[in-house]
Amino acid sequence: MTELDESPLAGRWRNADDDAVAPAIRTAELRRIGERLDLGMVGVDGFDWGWAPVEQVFAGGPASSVAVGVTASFEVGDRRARVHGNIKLGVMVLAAFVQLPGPEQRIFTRDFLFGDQS
Amino acid sequence: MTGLRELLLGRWRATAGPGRGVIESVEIVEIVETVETVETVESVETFGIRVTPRGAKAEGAWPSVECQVYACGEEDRQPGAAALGVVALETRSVELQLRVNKGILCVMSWTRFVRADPGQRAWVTRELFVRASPEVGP
Repeated sequence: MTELDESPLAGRWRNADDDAVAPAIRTAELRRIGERLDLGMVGVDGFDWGWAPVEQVFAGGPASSVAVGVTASFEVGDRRARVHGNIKLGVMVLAAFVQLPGPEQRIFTRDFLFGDQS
Repeated sequence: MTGLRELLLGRWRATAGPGRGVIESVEIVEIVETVETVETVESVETFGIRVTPRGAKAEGAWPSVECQVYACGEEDRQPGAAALGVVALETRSVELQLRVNKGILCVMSWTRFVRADPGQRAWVTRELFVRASPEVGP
């Protein structure tokens, strides 16, 4: 079986909604360094989630050879996020299960990011 | 948690017809446990997911799993709710992303194999569900 083609996921991504509110994600980036693939994120409020290793790259189906999704977990101070990113029609849909400090502070965000060529 | 509870709880059936998709139905239930200490008795509210895959007779129903519930921002002035849970099967694990908005449950299943096998790759699917049972009251 051939390696998954990761090219649809690679590079920098920017939120298409300039009015998105925290804890939405403003920019994301996938970078490969050797064997490791990392996901980095910055929130619309400037909060830097830093880089987290991609746990798994997903194909669009059991027989597909094209990568369309990644999962990763972030923990920065007392904030945590479980992230599912998937490509749909060239758009990165970034879903984040965010746990903020304090009771009942579990928020799900879903942002649409386009490839940032700048 | 009340609003989220009402949005999520109940039984949901796939919108896709027979032979399409991975999941036939999803049930989201509330689990109330009583926790006793020396001084107090408290009720702890958690949520569970039970997934019935298509072809369940051959594979066996997936075990129920606890899930965490999250609030969503409003879309078109409609409140939403989401949940996250992981089903551990014999050879693979399925991480479930559930999201309810405008009466539709969207489930993304992130499936990966427990043991690395170069012949099998992880994949993700997205399926939609509508309520199979009346909404839960407050």
